[in-house]
Amino acid sequence: MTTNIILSFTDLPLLVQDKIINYFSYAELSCLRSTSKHFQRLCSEKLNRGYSQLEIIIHDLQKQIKTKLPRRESERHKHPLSTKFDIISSLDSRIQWLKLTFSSAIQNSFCCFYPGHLLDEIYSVLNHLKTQQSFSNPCTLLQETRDMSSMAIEHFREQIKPKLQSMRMTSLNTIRHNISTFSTTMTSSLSHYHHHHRKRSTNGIFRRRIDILKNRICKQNIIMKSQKSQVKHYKQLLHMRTKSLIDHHRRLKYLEKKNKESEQILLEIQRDNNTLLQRIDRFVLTYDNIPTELNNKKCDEIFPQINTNLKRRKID
Amino acid sequence: MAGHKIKLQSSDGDTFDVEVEIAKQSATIKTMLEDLGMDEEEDVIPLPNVNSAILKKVIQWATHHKDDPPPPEDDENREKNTNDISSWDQDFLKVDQGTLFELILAANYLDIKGLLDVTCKTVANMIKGKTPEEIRRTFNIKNDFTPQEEEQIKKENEWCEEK
Repeated sequence: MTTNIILSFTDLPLLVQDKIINYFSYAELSCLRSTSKHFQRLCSEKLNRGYSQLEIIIHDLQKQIKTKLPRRESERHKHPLSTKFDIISSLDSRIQWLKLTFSSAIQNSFCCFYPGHLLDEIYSVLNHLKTQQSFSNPCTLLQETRDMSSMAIEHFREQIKPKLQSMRMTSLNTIRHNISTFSTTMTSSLSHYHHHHRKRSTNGIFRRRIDILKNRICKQNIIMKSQKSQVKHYKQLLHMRTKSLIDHHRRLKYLEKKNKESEQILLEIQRDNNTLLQRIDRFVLTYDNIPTELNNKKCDEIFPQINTNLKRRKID
Repeated sequence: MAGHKIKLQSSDGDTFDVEVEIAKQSATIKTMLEDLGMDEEEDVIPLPNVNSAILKKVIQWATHHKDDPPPPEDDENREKNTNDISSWDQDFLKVDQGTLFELILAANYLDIKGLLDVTCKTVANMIKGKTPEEIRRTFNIKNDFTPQEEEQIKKENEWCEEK
């Protein structure tokens, strides 16, 4: 099977790429990031989504169980669902701890929630919590999550955060540059700010950066909206085109049918023409033979014969 | 309407007679048949995004899976198992990478969920267990990271390494 254009992974629609990525565990996604920038974007989005959904899922679970538990705390301890509730609560506190560590870096796009293994572990605990009602050993259920989250938080604080500080400074310079290109008036005020208040807090710059980013998001949203309406329009067009294509097919079929009929008629006319030509030939032959026959027979005998022949042909 | 057939026309003009029930595994064709009222045998459904070779393979797959129950809905938190591909599908998908990607595009365009699932799983299996370098080689992907970016990801992935 030959293909004219060699397709690559990135040529696949994003929805399909996302579907493929969905077959990987979070730990695998974390490793897959180092393939290329495209893979990094895909996997980071998935990891971040998995991380941000955790809180929602846990809170939903908490709510569900809370409705079944008695309102008095003293009575809650005796309830069979209390162990489950405690597990969810301690899982929630772990998530909050992780959130405190990672959220700011993730929000500023300095990194993604890279501890994929930890995400897998938390989701497996959540699955347990969703399917099972009683737990014989609640401590061991969360042991791995506890260990892993501590490892992830420690690693982030020791290895990643210091690097992010320097990255933040670099990005700050980039922002300054961006701001200068964004608006000249802003540049003059910023450079003024930069020169005279170098040692002061950079909060103002961050606020401005947020404003700029907000503006950009607004613009992007408008673009997205217009693109969405365009997509809608194209979909309608496609529907119409498909309809007209089908219509054309029908017409083509009808014309082909007509063409065949006219070809048939033409063939019949040609056949008639051929028989007529043959008759004319025969007539000419008979006509040519007349003088020779005249020599042999008397004119009086022949002419009536020709006449009768001619009459017969006319009748035919 | 067992045995009732329709004609599918590929991008290169070839027509294929296919049983309606088999063709209806494609949600796109099913919608066309239902919305446009194309139920006569004379009608030809043009498929401008699928060439003959791929359409032939798609029909072959759909014919083999005509009695299958509808595939389950996608769930983000479902089991990430990719080892449940039937041996027939495995043999069917022993094709070159270009054909596999074209099959994915066709399954996506024709909206045949079962075929899309199995082809995507096959691609996922082609990635699983490979190092980033091997993945790049398999899919002809360029490493566009700067050494610093590569180093950062490497550093991040060290978080769970045992001492």
